[in-house]
This record gives sequence, C-alpha cells and structure tokens, in this order.
Amino acid sequence: MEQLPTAATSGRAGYPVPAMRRFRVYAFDPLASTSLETAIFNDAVISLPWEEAWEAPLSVGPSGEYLEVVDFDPASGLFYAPIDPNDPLLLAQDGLPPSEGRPQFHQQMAYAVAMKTIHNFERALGRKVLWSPLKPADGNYDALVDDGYVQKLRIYPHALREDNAYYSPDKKALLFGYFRAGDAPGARSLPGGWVFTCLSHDVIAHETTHAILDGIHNRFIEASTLDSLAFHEAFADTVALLQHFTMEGAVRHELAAHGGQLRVRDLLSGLAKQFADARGMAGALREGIDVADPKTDPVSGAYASAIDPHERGAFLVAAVFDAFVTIFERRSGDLMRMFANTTQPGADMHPDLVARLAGEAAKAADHMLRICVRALDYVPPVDLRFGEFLRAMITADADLVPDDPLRYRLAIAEAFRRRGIFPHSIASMAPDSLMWESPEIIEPGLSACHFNPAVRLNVDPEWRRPKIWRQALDNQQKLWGWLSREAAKNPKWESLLGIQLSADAPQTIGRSQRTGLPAVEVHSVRVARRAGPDGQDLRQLVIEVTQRRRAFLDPDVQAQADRGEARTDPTDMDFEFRGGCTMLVDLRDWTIRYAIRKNIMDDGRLQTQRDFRSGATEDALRALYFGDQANRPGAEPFAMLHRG
Amino acid sequence: MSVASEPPIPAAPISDAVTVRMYKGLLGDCFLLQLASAAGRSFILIDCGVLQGIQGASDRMVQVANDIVAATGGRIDLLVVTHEHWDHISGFAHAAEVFFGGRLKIDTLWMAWTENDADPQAQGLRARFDRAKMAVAAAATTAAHLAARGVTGAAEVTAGLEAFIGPVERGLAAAGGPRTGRQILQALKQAAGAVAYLEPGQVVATPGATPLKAYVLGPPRSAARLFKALPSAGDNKETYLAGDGLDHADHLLGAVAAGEAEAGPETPFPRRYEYAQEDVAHGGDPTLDWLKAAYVDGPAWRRIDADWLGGAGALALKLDSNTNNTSLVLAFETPAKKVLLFAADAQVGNWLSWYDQTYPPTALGGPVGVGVEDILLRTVVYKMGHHGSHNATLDAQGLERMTDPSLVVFIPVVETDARAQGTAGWNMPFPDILKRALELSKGAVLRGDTHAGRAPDGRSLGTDAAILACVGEDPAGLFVDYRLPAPLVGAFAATKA
Repeated sequence: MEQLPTAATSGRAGYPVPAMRRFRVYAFDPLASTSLETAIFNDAVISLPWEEAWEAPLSVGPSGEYLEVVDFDPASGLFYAPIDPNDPLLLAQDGLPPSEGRPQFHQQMAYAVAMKTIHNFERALGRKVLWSPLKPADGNYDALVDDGYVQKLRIYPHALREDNAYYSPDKKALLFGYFRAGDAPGARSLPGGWVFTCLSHDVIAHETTHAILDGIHNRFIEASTLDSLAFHEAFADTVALLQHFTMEGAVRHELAAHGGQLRVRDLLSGLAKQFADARGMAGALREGIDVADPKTDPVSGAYASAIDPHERGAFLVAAVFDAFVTIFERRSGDLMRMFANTTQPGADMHPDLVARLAGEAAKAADHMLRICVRALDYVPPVDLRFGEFLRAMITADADLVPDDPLRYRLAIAEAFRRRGIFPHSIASMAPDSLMWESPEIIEPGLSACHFNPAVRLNVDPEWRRPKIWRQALDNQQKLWGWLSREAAKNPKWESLLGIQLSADAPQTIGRSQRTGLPAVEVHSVRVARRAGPDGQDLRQLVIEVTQRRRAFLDPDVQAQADRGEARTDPTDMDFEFRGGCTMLVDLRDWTIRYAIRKNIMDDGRLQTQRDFRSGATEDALRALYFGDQANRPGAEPFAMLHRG
Repeated sequence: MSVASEPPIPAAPISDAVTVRMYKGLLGDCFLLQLASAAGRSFILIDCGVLQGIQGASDRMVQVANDIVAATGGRIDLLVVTHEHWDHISGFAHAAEVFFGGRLKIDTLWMAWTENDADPQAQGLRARFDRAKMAVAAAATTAAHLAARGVTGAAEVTAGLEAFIGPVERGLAAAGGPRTGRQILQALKQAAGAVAYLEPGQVVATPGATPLKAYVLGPPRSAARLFKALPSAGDNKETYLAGDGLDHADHLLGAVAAGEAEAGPETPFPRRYEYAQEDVAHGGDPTLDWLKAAYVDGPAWRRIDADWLGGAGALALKLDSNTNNTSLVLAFETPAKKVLLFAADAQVGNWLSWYDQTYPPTALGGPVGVGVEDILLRTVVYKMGHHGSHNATLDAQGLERMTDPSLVVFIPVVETDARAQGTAGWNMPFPDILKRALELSKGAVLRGDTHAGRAPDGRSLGTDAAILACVGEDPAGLFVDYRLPAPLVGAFAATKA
C-alpha cells in the first residue's frame, strides 16, 4: 500500500502537517439516528491530534501508536477488510460516513472513540497512557520480548456474537460483540435487527477505560472487596457518561428541551440506550441519575448492602454525576437568573443562552472528568474503597487547584455523603478533613526526607512511550534495590509504607530469592506533570510499592502460619492478601507529600477480606464451579462480569 | 392426598421408628426413609444419583439399587424425585435393570409442579431450559472440535463445561435404558403406580401403612424466586438481569449455527467485505497479506479464536442454578412433631419462598397454617442443600433457625470428588456452613465421605454419644443409618390404613 504523507514524511513535500485528523462517528449509537429528534446531532466528528513525528504513523487497520484494529469474527470464520485511513477519498471527507452495514466504519468509530478516551486521560494525568505489561502464561518473565512492553491495545470490533463486550487483560484487547435484537425488543429497535456494541460510544469508552485503568493499577482487577470490582465498572461508566458532554450538538438539544436542566433522565444521563432497547429494557442500560432524588430521599443504606458489582458501582457513578450537575448549576446560575428575568415563562430559550449553557456543561464535565482521572494517582495500590476514592478526588484537586471559589470539593463530598459513601476514620466530611494526611502524621521522622539522593531515580522528561516505559522499569529496579538495602535498615520506612522489610516479618510474607528478606514489588514509578487552570505547575512522582502475604480463612491457622509453625509451603494459602503504599513525591524538593497505605499487617482488613471471600456473592458462586477465575491465567474477569 | 390401599405385609410386631439411610460415597443424593409402626413398614426413597464423570459411579449405583431392593423387599411406597439433575437421578439409569426391570416396585411418585407436562408454566420453563441446554451442548461440541484442531483457548471452554454436560455425549448411560434426564423422569412416571405433582404450601400425608405428614416448601411459582440464585440488596436488579438470565442461549445458538451454515455464515455485511479464514491463512493479495500478518502470524497470545464460546459457561451456570431452584423441598413431620427437612439443591430464591406462604396456605377467615419459622425450629434432621455449597443453605433465615438440640445434619458429599471438578475444584462442603452446622448439631454431621463422628482427617467431632448410639454404619461403607431416638418419633396412629 502506498505510503501517504505523515508528520514524518510531509516535511519533504513541503506541505504543512494538518493539526487534526477527523473521523466521523455516531455521537451515541445507531439507534439515535432513527429518531428525527436525535438524528441531527448523532452525526458527529471526533478530532484527534495528527500523530507526532516520534509516534507510530497511523496506517491501515486503523493501526497507530496506541491501538490496532484487527477485524476478525471467529464465530463466523471471517475477516473483514481493514480501512485505510490515509486513502485520499477518506481524508477528504473525515473518514467514512456513519453506516451500520460497512465494517470499515465500525473499525473507524471504535478507533476514534477509543483514541479520544485515551487523550482525555493523558490530558488529566499529565503523562502518556501505557498498557499493562504482558504477563507470561508460563510464568517465565525472562522469555518476554521487551520485558513485556505492549505498545498497542488491540481492538476486535466483531469478536463475539453475543450481547457483550469486554477488555481482556491477558490479550491486551477489547472484544466487542454483536447480536440480533430479540423478538420483542424495546419501542425503537427492529425486532431481530443487528446491534453492534462497537458502534456504541458508551461501550467503546467504557471498555477503553478498563484497559487504561488496568495499565495504571494492575492490582485493581483482583476482587479483594466488594468495592474493588465495582470500582472498575463504576469508573468506566463515569468516563463514558462525562464524555457525553463533549458532544456539543446533543448537549444543546437536551438543554433546550429541558429548560436548561441537567437533573433529568435523558440521552445524556443514560448509558448504552440501543443496547438496552434491543434487550427489551426500558430506558438506558445504566443511569447516572439515581432512582430517587437524593435530596429528598437519601439512599444511604442501599450502598452498604449492594453486592452486585454494577449495582454497587452505580452509587459511585451517581455520586460523581450528582456533583457534576451541582457544579454545572453553580456555573450557570447567573445565566439562568438573567434568563428568568427577561423571558416569558414557558418560552423557548434563546439559542445564544443554550450555547452558553452547553459551554458551561462541557466545562463542568471536563473538570469533573479530570478530577476523577487525576484521583487515580492518589489511591492506595490495592483494595480500593469508594470512600478512599472520594479522599483521592479531594486531595488531587486541592493539590492542583488550591483555591476553590466555586466549592467543587464540597459539592463532591456532599454527593458522596448523600449516598452513604464514607471513608473510614476521618474527623468529618469537610473537604479539609477528607484530604489524605501528610506523612509527618504517620512517621514524623521521615516528613522532610529527601530520599532521591540515595535512590538516584531518573526523572528526565521523555515523550516516546517505549522510553517512558523503559525509564519507569529502570526506576523500579533502583527503588527496589534501595528498599532492600537501605529502607530495610530503618523501621520507620516499614511503618510509612505499610509493608514488612526486616527479617522478623511473618513467615507468610514470601522472601526474596536475591536478598532473603521479605519480597517487595515496586509496581510503578511514574512522573506526572500537570497544569492547573491558573498556570499552576505540579510535578509529581507517583510510586507504588506492594507486598503479598499468604492468608488463611481461619485466624488460628493464620497465626500459626505467620509464626512458621504450620502451612509453610509458599504456595499453600486460602487466598492472597496484599498491602502496600502509594507515595506521592513532590519533584520540586523531593519531599514525600502523601503516603497512602494499606498495611499488610492490618488484621481488621484481613478479616474483612475473609468475610468477603466466604460471603454469598456472585463471585463466590462462580468460584464454586469455575474456580477462582480472576486469578487463573487465561481468565477473563471482565467477560464474566459483563455477562452477569 | 389419598393413600392407595396396600396388600398387607406380614410383619412381626414392631415399635414405632423412623430411620434415615444415606447412601455414602456419592457426590449425589440417595436417601431411604424407613418408617415402622404396628401398622406396618413404609419406605420412601428420595433421589438416586451421582455426579457424571466419576470413576466407578455405575457400579456404585448398582450396589445402591440392590441394597434398596434388599432393604425394602422390592417395593417402595413413595419415590420422591426432587429435580432433573444427574447427581439426583443418574442411579435410575445406571441401575435401569433394577428400577425398570421389575425388581423394584414404585407405588407412588412425587415430583414438583415443574415436572408436570400439563402445567403451562412448567411448559414455559421447560422450553427455556431446553433451549439453554441445547445452546450449552452446542457450544461444548463446537469447543471440542476447535480444541481437537488445537485452537487456542478452546480446551479451557470445554473444561469449564465438563460438569454441566449430560451423559449422552459421554455414552456412559447403560445401553437400552433411559439416557437423558428427561427420559429418566418419563420412564419413572411410567413405572410408578401413581404420580402426584406438588405445589408449595401443600400439606400431604406420605403414602403407605405408616405415613408421615409432609409440608411442601418449594419450588415456588414466582419467577422472581425461581431465578434467584444469590442474595442481593436493592430491588432494582431487573435493571441488569432480564428474567431467567437465559437469553444468552439465543445468541450462542445463533453464533454456533453461523459457523456451521452450509451456505456460509449469516452476517450483517455484504460479501464483498468478507474474507474467509482459510483464504487469509494463505494470503495472496495485499488485504489478505495484511490480515495474515496482523492476526494469523501475529502473537499467539492475542488470538481470540475461542472467546466467543466463553458465554456458554455463564449460561450453563445460570441454567444449573435455575434447575436447582426447581427442587422439590419437603419437610416430613413425625407424630412427635419433629421435622426431617430435605432441601434437595434449593438455592436462595427457593429458600426465601418458603416464607411466602403458610402450610397449608391461610385463607381469609380460615384457620391459620403453620409458618416455616415453626417448621425450621422443630427440625431434627436436615439434609443439607446442594452437597453443602455456599448458596444452598440460607443462614439467618435457614440454618440459624434450626435450634433443636437434637439436630442431625446429613451432607451427601465426597469432598475429594468435589475438589476434582471444574478448573479449581468445587468448594463443597463450604467451610463456613460446615462449621456452623457442626456447632448447631454439636458435631452430629453425617457425611458421605467420613465415618460417623469423624472429620475427613479422622479427628473426632465430639459428637454426642447418645446420637452416635443411634447411628449404624454399613461395614462395607455403602450407607449410614440414623434411627431417630424414640422421643423424636412419637406414636404413629394405631390403625391401619
């Protein structure tokens, strides 16, 4: 195939490189194009930055720096011809026009929406998105190519013939399904018509988020508590939902229809409408707005007793959505008051006003999305609870934007409180109490520690993804060495990091073959550079250290095994219990700003996990028949979760 | 329920007695109740089966069937078949010669309303279950074909489905006898003198000279209960789960059919966009070469050849728990008003439904029936649900209410067989439930894989000596008998039926 101009080659031809590549997509899904009301804004365009000279050029597939689309349909035994995004005919018309009957459009849309989601994350995180490293099926890490670096996430737009789509952590792939609607679908679907999950903006954003989240927090896939699996789902839904507000046409239409209100269940607040309609469900697959208005009807008790991951996750999604709407209402309050004073009640809103409101909605959604994404650097490395995510959001936002005149943080805390999502052991739900403590509260002696001189981490700016990855790997090695050599000598580090480093650690904590001391995993050492709205510049190093401990359902057995008196085989355990710490280091002076811990020696937490594992949950039922799927090589944790 | 009149059985004067015989060494249920009074002896057989795919299962079931003939003299008053699962009915196939060859006479057969072919709701359930079963079987067959061709991931799919596939595919059922679960139930209906389909809330007398009162607790008629396998909070579950959860069967069948269609698979796209897998494997033009390089010659760990069959596991699981919830659950009451509870494989929804009615149902202004709370309180024999799995014994609304100090718990399980199932073994009996059962019964837990009063490792459970005195074990290890202490039995009515 002829190589067309890219950033790397066009310089020779003398033409300027375009700023953006544009791809036509459905704003929502094909169903929205079947109704007069929504069809006008359902044809949308996603603009993606033209690839940089150092990035892989976009080519047939589409295949680029981050993603490769391979269209294989194994149930039918067919491949579908790939699209060439550089074909002049397509470049001249922003890619293929929306079409359900052309698989190349499916490839284009899945690629474009996934890339848009990636860009949203990169903007908020202040660094490049990397996929989780490849794990060798046979456990032999030495045989891995490039130490397990996976450049491209693969997208299979027609991988399954069922009403499902999922992210496969082992294959580093998104698998989308397609299916026929039932004989009695909802009001708007064609009975027996085809439904493609890869044409749903929401489903693509949701699955891409799973993959990105897995690249940041590899351990979040493990179902250690009810919240952990629910978090993956809830976060993916939140991202999909907030991305709705980037569709300007749709936002204007809905705001005009509802008199400037967003607290209405509509196209914007619901997820995957076509998917739901085809399965005969009324409304959306999932909703951002709770059933009851939380202002009048607190739903506090329901969260605590919700067991199903989606059901439980819905509380987090609703809390974030509620906070977003509150922020939008504050931002648009003045406009609405002016409108109320100058217009007859019941009259249509002026298009200019609608446009201004839509701008505020987009801004509020963008702020909210960034707060959520940034918070991912402020969560403990294992065993995340929703209450801790709240603390992470508050702290992350306060760090970057110290001044909070519109009271974003209060709106967030309030929305979580109304749904009964509370962190443990805090003084109050006031934003300043919700911030993570600084390490001096935990270990006064280490608060002013400038540890880098000893560790010698490399934090030089890098922008090539493989180099960033290599740099992080080297830093992990260095930190690991320092932990084993130096930190092990000072018990204060044990306390700060919530892990065991010395020889007298419980025998259930495995020993390193190299040092003979308790084994420690340095999960990530990543550099983030973030810019605040007023030019604030935050440079941080995010370090995650974890440790494993063999855990037993019976506390007496645990005590014996800890002492090394019984169950000494290093593979003998009822389950794996993890502890560790996320450390945030300010790169300006190398001080430790936060140490967010999950202590490996926390007996209360251990007992909670025992209870969870012996409880009657969906997961336990699967475990009965299929074994501990999530921890088995080759398992598809999200496939099972999504199949419900 | 009318009691069929029986030819008198000559018997020596016998004292009133109730004996529960559990056949051991089976991951499956087979219980024989022996009732004795001056009026004569009666026999109730509850289920007869062992899980598929277990070594020596067939021989074992023939031994069991022969023992039943010997113990009953070749006639049982009542056969209870709780639900159509292989581990509860396979014995009828393995020992077809005994059950259908005239060596054992079955006077009356009890089944749940779900097995009544004339019941419209049962027909609806059946159609859905059959379709799901077909889909799982089709997926398993396809996966096996793929696995034989060495396709990545296919073997894992087959392994996950092993335990759900009936005996037909394995060719294990005895030649000439019934081969599928459905055929077994049909054959039993033919063989029995009378058949009754029971409804939740009914209170009936067991047929025979020495009758027990029987409360019918489940299966429920309510779909919400029937399809509930697990406890959950909140009532908006329907947001995520549509009805019985078996809709996936349609997709799976469609997908399997797509790959096998003669005229090529039915796809949503025009043919000009499609490239057959075989052509891609050879390459030849730029598009074929690109696809070949991207997928066929790409890294093996990224391939998805068998992933589309993965949904079969979830479907099989759902079908399995739906079938478990159709379990006929009976609580037998002795004249002393003590209860023997046989929970079959009832899961959460079935258990919860016991609280939906009284026994018999209370009509407005009529006499108030007994509540299940009361029945559980008087339970002295509990046949644990589903071999002791975690979701077949309710805690607060189930086990915790069984506070009678004489409680004895039966668990028909072979832990080593259970652990050998699936990819990581089935967790039966579930440790927490076993522990609580041991506490409530003060060590009086009789399992299919241990000696009475002993844990699997031989440790003593500290079982009350008085209870152990009522337990008799077959020296050959085929069964264990528990003869209820006289105060728990009381006095049967003196007159003959």
